[in-house]
Amino acid sequence: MPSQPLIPPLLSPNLSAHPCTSLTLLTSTLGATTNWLVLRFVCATLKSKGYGTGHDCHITQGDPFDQRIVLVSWLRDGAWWRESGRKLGIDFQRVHLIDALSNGLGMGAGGLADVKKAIMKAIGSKKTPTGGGNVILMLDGLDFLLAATGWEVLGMLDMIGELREHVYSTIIATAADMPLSQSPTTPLEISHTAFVMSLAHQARSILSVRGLDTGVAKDVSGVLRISKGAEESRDEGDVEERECLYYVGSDGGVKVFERGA
Amino acid sequence: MSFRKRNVGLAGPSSAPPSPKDSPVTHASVPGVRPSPLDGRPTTSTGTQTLDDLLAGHAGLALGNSLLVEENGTTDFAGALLRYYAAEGVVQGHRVHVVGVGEQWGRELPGLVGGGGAVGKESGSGVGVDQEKMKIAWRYERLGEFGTGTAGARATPAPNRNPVPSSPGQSDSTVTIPFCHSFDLTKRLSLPTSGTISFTAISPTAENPFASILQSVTLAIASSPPNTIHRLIIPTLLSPALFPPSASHPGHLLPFLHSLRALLRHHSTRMSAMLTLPLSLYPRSTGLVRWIEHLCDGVLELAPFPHSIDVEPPLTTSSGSGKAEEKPQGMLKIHKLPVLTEKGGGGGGGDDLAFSLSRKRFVIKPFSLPPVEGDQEAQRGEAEGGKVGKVDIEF
Repeated sequence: MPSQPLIPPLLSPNLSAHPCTSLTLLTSTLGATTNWLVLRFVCATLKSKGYGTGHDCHITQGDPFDQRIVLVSWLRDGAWWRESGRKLGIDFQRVHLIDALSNGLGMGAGGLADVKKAIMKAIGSKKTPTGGGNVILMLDGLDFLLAATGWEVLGMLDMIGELREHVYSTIIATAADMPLSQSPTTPLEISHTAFVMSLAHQARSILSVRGLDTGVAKDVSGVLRISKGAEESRDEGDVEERECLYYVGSDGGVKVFERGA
Repeated sequence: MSFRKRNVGLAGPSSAPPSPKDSPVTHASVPGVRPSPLDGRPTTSTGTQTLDDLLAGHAGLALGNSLLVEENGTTDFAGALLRYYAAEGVVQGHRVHVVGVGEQWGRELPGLVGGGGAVGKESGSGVGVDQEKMKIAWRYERLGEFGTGTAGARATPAPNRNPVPSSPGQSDSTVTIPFCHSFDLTKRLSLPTSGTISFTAISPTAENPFASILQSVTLAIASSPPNTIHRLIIPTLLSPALFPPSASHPGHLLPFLHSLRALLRHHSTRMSAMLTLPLSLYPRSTGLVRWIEHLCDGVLELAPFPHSIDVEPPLTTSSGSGKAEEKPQGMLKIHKLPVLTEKGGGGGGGDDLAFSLSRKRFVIKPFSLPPVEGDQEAQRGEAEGGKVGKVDIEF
């Protein structure tokens, strides 16, 4: 289906228009990953014409059309992102990609401090010389670090909070499988649950993907649910709660459609 | 004894494994690797034809990816898949790295169907079969697989346990090299040279039992010629028989799988991995197992039927292609597929899948319930009265 638009029309209001300082949470399950969604976010952000419903924000100086991205991925390598992004026409000049799968960011002795330092450096490098520019931070698989290192959840959330102060808006992709948070008993499950719950409370909107409840279908890859987070803005009310189906072709093209459509 | 003897006989052709590889091979520069029909990425065979076909249309396991096979219960079907994967690697001249188990495991790899189990022999019939295959475009090759497999098997006389070098075999490194071989569980593959398959022991006392594994694999990859393909095999991950208790600590296991993933991606044209996990010890409802699954590229679950032990045809029956072996022995669930799931696509096709293991093949096919036993009268009645009934309805 080559005629598909790069960004599915049903999704486009959710992909661009993030207000200043907002957090968007993407959750995935084992058979339904959010990678395609992250790529669409990157694509939409780079194409967007300035701020969405943005209002005056202390960070937004500089050129409003100049949106830059810092993407840190712990579960996928840089080559994969570049290759998939190229098909969408993503200009990686404007994306600072940290390949934390290959360099094992945060797994060393430095721990959380290393992560923060690396991301802060990347944010700094993407800011325009005038001190402005809109940097959008995307973290993919940060929850892996939590599981593998057993760090304190609070420390991790603190770090996210601090990083958010330096960027225009933040997008975090985590896993949200049932076994990870259904009845948390092991330390791994408890901290994962606490982490995702806290993020959900801080988020403006939550986009969760999961497999089809009724089994596997050839023309449906999964279900996308868009819901309001606890921090959904008091005055805008622009997150429309909905649930739709999506299909990712083997060429990477995505279709998003209503149930029954 | 026979193992040693064959080794001596083979020393000539196999002492330099790269040389048959470098010999003019028409359809692929590296044996056992072919481009995916979907996007051209290099893939290698798992040694099981029907498993290759399942992997999201790539007709093989894409290099740079890992496959996790989980199994319920106390059976070892996953182990059979693992042995096919290892044996295929040995036959193709890939470097096989096995973690945890001893060399005995390597000696029990299944031998080739129809062949002596040895690598690099010539024979008239084998060449004929392969040349016939050559005429078919490789992407349709699998259609002819069934026929050739059984034909080759019939040509071989019964006493297979000690394969004789002079028996008719497949020509593996001469004219063409098939992408996926057929293996016979009752035979034993003779390992061509000592360098092909290596075993990494797990230190039972080390604080982090995984530390040494990746080190040795990384070293082996770095020190091998650039066109060598590597296969990493980890049987029964976390099983207390092989791994110390500290292995199941997330702080050891998850960083290891993470680095393995990084290593696979780094050598995305040279390496693949296959792991098995006993689900009875580590159920899928735990967060740790879910993270293991997240860190692997493909995840399959085998759920053998509880009764299959009774009806399982004995592996030593001489008529290996009887009806009985087609009986499904368990269900196979696909939770995640390499490449496709990363893009965002869902699991495999819509069919329920069942598997059956027989002497010569591991078959995965759509599951359909057999007719209810003891209901033959009703069925017969239906068949006989079918026409009448139809007429009645159409009236």
